Amino acid sequence: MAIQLDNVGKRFTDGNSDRWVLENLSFSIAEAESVAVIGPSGCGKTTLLNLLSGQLAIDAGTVQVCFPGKAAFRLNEVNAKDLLHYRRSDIGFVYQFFNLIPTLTLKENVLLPVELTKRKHLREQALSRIATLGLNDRIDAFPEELSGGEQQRAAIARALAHEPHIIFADEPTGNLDADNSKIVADLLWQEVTKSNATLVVATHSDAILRRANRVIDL
Amino acid sequence: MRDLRRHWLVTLCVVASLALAAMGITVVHIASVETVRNLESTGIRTSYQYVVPIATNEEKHYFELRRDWRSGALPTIEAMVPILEGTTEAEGRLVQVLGIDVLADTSGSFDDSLSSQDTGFLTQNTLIAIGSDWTVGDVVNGSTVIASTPSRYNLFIADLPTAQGLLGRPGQIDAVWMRRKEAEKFSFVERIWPGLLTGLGYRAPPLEVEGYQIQSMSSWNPLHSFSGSIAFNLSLLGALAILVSGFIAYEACSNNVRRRRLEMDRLGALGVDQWQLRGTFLIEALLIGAIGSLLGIGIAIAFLQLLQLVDVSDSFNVVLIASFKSVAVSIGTLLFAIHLATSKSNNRIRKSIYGLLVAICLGLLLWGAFPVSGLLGAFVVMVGMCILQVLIVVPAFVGLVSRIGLAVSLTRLTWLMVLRQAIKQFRSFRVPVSAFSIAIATAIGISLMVTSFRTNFEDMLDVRLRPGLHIESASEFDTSVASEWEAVENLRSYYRTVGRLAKGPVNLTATNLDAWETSRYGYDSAIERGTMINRQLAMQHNLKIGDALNIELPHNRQLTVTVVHVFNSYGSNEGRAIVDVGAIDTAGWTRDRVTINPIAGREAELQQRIASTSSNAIVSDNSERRTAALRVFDQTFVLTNAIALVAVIIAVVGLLSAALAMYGAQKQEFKLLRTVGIGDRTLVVSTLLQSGLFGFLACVIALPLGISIAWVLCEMVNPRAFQWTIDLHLDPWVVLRPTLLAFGAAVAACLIPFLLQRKHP
Repeated sequence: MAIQLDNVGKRFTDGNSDRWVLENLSFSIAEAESVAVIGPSGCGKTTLLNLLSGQLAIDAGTVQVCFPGKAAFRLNEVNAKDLLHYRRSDIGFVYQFFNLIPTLTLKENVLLPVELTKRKHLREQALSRIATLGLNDRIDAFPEELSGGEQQRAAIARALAHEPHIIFADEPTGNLDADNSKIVADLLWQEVTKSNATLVVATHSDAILRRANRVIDL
Repeated sequence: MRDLRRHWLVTLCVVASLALAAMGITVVHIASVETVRNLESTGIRTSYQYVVPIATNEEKHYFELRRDWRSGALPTIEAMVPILEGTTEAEGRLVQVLGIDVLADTSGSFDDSLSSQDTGFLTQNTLIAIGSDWTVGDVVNGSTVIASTPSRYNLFIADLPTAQGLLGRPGQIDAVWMRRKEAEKFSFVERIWPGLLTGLGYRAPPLEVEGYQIQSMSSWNPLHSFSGSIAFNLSLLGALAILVSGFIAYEACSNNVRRRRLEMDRLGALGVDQWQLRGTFLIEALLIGAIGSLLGIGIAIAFLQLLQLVDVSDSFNVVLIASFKSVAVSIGTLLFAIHLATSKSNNRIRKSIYGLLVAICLGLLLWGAFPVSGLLGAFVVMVGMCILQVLIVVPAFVGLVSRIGLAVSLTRLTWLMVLRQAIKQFRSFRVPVSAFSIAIATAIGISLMVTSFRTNFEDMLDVRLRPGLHIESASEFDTSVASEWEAVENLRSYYRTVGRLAKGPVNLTATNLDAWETSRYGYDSAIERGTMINRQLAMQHNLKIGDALNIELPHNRQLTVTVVHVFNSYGSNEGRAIVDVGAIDTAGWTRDRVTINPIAGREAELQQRIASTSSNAIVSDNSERRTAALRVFDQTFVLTNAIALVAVIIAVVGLLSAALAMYGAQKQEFKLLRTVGIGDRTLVVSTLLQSGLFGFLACVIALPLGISIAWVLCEMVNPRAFQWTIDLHLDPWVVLRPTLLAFGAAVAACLIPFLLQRKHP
């Protein structure tokens, strides 16, 4: 088991009233499993990914995370330092709007997690993944010079560069055309499978749903 | 309205920068008017524009001139009045006397503190005492004081026969003063912008009448142009603050329009036309402009009252005009900025306007470089340099920095990110960076000029005020007795009078011009038949070393001397000449000063002895006079430094406003960096480094302009305005002080959005 959710809840304050976006959510995700999270707009898919990736605080319930060779811990109980370590080393994130760092080139964006985790031995592997993703000739380009498909492929390369245990992907094909969606979905699965990581993906795309081991409908 | 509320911090910054600009305009206007008032109350300020010197001193020439005028020879002249000027001694003091024919012009004014009604009461053997401690009813030299007003300057205004009696010049006049018909029009301009006419080099148009030499009053009474120059200087330094706030307002408006472009496009798609869309911005501008300027006016009035610089309740009209100017400039700046920001950009037109602006600036720089362009030309050079900074220097520097930034290779990606982020910010903040660099440059320029001036002034005081005692009102002081005192090492008497050159009066001093005395003025040997003149006299009368000077002295005496040395003097732009006492007959001169150099350690003893010998004499130690002179100097430049500070504050608020406008995008970026695993500490350090680098680049770009502004102030503005020459001293600490202040402020301004997002991630 990689992630275990027990009665997880998240509320947002809207004016003077609280609104629960997620309530009593319980499920688990196994290691190397690929899970697609679906549901109508506003049902809390992105919120769920943000909770699981430690970007948002959990308001109810617990989220337990467990990786091979590491003691299990609860996300809502770890201190800021451990949470930072979790975000830096254990997870990778692919966004709908790519979110590459605009001041770094494609290559630098991909190598940033390697540098932050001080896993220098992964450098060559990360660079070869860029080639695998078909971006070798765009390696020194800045994000603004890349197409949407190229940016999303670079985002996948960055999310996997430091060999995280879990990859979170929030609508990774939501901002791409049909052809690019297929290419990105194929590459995402190919690389995640190759690195044996767990994948949690929020999506509306049939191409991704078809590939997922399991679907969770919110 | 909702948008203003939602982005309340950005709105607040725009309001704050406009309020500061309005405050600057109000303070500068009120202080300029007050400066002119203060300076002109130290000299005779009249409502007359022309002077006709009567070389023979015969009254008949006045009657001839009046006859010609009445027959229509001088249609532009409203009135004329004969006058007699000179100095007399009263109770041991030297007092200037102005004799006027009170019936010749009942509407003219002879001093700002007096109305024509006051002078209308003058009769034989009565006088008005200005600036002395005489009170109504006192009898001075046989004349009764019928009115008195306080002033730092001693002046008696008397009826012509009374003045002739006081000066011992029966039946004589010195000149005829003439008043123009449409002079009121120009006084209105001066009320709106004090010193503008001086800055523009305005002189009443030349008048010619056969047989008479008619000249402008400003050459007769240079104090008027001196005070006008100070007011013009203050106004234009204030204009730099307005320029800075204009850029800030433009940037804020552009950001506002950019941020709401989508909203505008949607409203456009719904059928709302361009003018309706602009109307929204216009209403917002009027609201923000009104709030900002009213706030600024309020702060300015409170500031002036608090520091007791001006009694605002006493100057209602001045405050009203200042307020009107502030509101007009603030709202005008905003409207212009909105027009620029909402106008559809056409690259060809934009490039043409850009080229035209650059060409105009270069042309103006060239024109201003010629001395004939006067004070206005000097300021045009300064403003032109600032605009070129925005049009050429900043974009070129930003381009260069971007290239260097991209070429730099750092092994740590985090640092590389910091470097590139700083450069990106620098590039996108081009307008606020331009405004910021102008503000820092103004602060550097003013600081360098003031420090250089102070150094020159101190050097002058060092040689002029050697250790010793200075005795004023010394006419009754018996120097023959004092020279026998044991404690006296050296004793000197100074005689003063007002002489006349072809172009106007000249203040004359006579003393023993031995090598010791001349060395006080930077000359190296004794002078017997020559004269030393100050730079002001040299410039006013176009004199140089070797020229012969024909001076008319009291009692119809003449003095012809050769100019052997020109010296610097600061404080007023009145012409002054010093001659050797051996070359003159001291009749008609007043010995009003004595200096004594005591034997070391015996100053106190000597001071007591002088006090017991002459009760009227005012004794002061030269070291105290030096301290007092420097104190006055520093006070004079308080306002100038305050203007520079206001400009820097406006620019910092502008940076903050620009940084807050980018807050939304930055917030997203910080979120991303956190997700990637960059911790808060790294984010703080990198933001600090990024802000520091940004501040450093902004300061670097301001340095050349700052030094150039200082050079223009020293080499062009001061000589043209006051005939003062200042040697520019490039003191590194003086450059660093405002730079460091601005650097710190820039870092703080760029850090605030980061701190905000930490609070509300």
